[in-house]
Amino acid sequence: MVLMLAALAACADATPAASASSAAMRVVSLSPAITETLVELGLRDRLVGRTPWCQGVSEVPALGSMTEVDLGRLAAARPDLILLQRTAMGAPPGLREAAADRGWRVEEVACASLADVRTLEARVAGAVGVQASAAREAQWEQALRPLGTLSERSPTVLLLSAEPVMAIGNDAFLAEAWAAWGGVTSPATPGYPPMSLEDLFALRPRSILLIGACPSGATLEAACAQRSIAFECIEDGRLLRPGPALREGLGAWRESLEARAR
Amino acid sequence: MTLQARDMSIRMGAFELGPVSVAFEPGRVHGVVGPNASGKTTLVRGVCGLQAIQSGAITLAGVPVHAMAAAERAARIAFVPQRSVMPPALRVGEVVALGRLRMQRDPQAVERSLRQVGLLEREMDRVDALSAGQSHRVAVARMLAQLAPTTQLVVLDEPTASLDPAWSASVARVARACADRGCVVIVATHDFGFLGACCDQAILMAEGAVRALGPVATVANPESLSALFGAPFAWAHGIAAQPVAMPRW
Amino acid sequence: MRSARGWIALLVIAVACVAARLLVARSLDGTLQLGWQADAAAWRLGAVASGAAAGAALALSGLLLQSLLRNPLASPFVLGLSGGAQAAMALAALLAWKAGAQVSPAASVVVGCAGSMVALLLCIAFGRSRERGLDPVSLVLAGVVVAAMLGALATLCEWMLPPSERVAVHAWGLGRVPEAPPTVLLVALLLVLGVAAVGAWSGGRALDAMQLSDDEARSVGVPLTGMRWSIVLGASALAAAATALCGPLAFVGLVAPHAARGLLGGAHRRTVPATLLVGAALLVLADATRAIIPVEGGRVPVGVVCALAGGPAFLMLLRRGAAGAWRT
Repeated sequence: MVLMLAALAACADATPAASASSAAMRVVSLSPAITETLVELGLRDRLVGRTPWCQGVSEVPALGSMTEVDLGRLAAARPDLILLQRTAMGAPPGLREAAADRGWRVEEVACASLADVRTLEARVAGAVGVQASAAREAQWEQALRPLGTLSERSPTVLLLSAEPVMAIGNDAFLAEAWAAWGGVTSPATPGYPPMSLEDLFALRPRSILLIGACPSGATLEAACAQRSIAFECIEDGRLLRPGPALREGLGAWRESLEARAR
Repeated sequence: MTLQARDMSIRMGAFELGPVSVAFEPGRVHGVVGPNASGKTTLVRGVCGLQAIQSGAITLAGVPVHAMAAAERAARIAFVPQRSVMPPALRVGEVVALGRLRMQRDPQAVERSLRQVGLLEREMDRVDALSAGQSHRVAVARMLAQLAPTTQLVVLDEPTASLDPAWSASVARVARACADRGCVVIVATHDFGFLGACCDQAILMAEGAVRALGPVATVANPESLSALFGAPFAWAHGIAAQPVAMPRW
Repeated sequence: MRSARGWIALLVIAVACVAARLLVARSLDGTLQLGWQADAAAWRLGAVASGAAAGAALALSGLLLQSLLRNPLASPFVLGLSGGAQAAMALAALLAWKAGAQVSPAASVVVGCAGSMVALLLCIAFGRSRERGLDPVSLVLAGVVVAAMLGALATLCEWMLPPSERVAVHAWGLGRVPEAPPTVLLVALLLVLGVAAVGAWSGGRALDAMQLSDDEARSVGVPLTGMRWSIVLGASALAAAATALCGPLAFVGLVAPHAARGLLGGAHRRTVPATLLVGAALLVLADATRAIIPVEGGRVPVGVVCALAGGPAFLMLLRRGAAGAWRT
């Protein structure tokens, strides 16, 4: 009797995950953006693993991130699907091999451009096997409607940080959103080029927006005032988190810009 | 202006020197001899105040040597170590002038000192271009530049070890001149010619203790030296004004 | 006179470096700009002020350490001073992030100095021996270990920050020459520099005498213990103030004293002012280089320029036998 039970237990462990239905699917998210998307999709109870920086899901164990993952704890969570952000470095070392061994599905989800972020929910839903909400797409449309008032502030430099000065290049999702609203960002190069203050002011922007808390020591502010350049700090952390947070942040920002124009 | 060591004892690691009680008289050249690791260097460094003492006292003209401030010590005591370190990238003249660090600048004194050791023409050369013997002569010149009316003690630790006979004789003349000025002169040496020709008093040391003390002619005789070193010694004539005990090969 | 030629060469080099920074630049789109640019003037002058002050401080710190340790390979990096400041900044950034706050410039001076001092105390604690006090060899060994430990601490703090916060801390660790130096930091640096430079110049002959053996130095009247402590405190204050303004920068403190000695000889009365000039010129030149080299993907951090240029210079020194020239 005991031997039969043991055999049954062994068989149960060896059941391939691919055959599990989406209702029972256990999902591990190695990206805060994906975690937030899953929560919004109502799949919080399916989440069995997260990164240490995922917010609002403290009951779920933290297993690692897109750079490194604890394979032992990951195995203990018995995932069916592992979702991570696509990066140049690929999956964390060992993950793909372990997944192949144990039959876990690993899916990399692109999250870099604005289009990626807009379709994130749909792609995550597709991977898990549920339906995405049409209402969200409408919210995105709403958040990215053109604003007529941005031309007088253009060109604008969006800054990721003031010390060192790091500008947001034109392929980053924030720059794309600004362009969707009808503004023009500078520099017109991709990436996040670090530059000197001289470079920054050589771009001759009309306005400089820092996405983040205002730096103490008002050097940048004073320099902008001297040159009649509008300087503003947008202290909304949602703007730097792709996913549902970005959508909400963009919506809020757009509203405040509209309100100011009136 | 006597240098008085009273029950001085020094511990360096496992080595113990003393207790030693010796009076070094001004106007005399005292030669300290003994086998390797007998404590010669420890003794001479101790009486200069460069080595901490565990017990006892060392006074120079009544002033405790270890209580002297750096400037006072430089004014009263001049020292040439066994091995000197030459600052790279400095010139010979600059190194000699360091002897007068705490005194008035005196380019003439530097020149005189260099002339006495025969290195005046190398004054502008870098010290790392000199040989070991020449570097040692620079160290002696530095000590000479340091001599002042306030100098009461001159200590030389094996000064002739790297010098040829001509310059060894020159150092002997320097030691003699210092003694004639009224300083206490102490020389630790393995050079028995130097001991016999230049020194007035001999101090025999072994295993951290003073074995004998007194005039060179009486104390530094072949029997005592043979017992001290465990090697045969004999009287040698014609080396100095009086017979000198030298190792026998 | 050899000395006059050396000074002239030095002044010419210094002026050339400052001119390069003020008059030559390559804009982000690749065009080379020559000549005085009125609208960029404020930034470039600020960068020259920061670079000259920090370069001079690091160079003087390196000179003092090399004299103290009788070791031509000594520099603020050796004693882990820059590493200490970096670790302290990384720790402060981590604690600030957890508290939802920020590290202000004034706080960063204090934090950086505290880190340097901690590194220094650790080196001293482990670099002492009972008989010889501050022993140069033990100090260098302790410094290497302390620098490694503090580097690991800095990396740990960075690792514990979320990826979005790591950028700023990591960038700080690469070094920069600020075009608009925070007044607090610049004034603090200039004060420390002034005091240290005057002290080192007036004590120049005593510094020379410290290159003799301990016994010889004491016998010519150098108050060795007191001087060693003063040098240690002075060198670390210089390194901490420079690091607070510019982040950790390698090789300026190592290479500048050698260049100064090569041009003007080893006497500290000449080497101290020369080292200040060379250090200032070197860092300004590194900053000018970064403003001139092609900029695919943005400006290269100045710390990288320093390391890329200083590294080969250091290797050349090794090859020429600099390490063997100083015997203890």
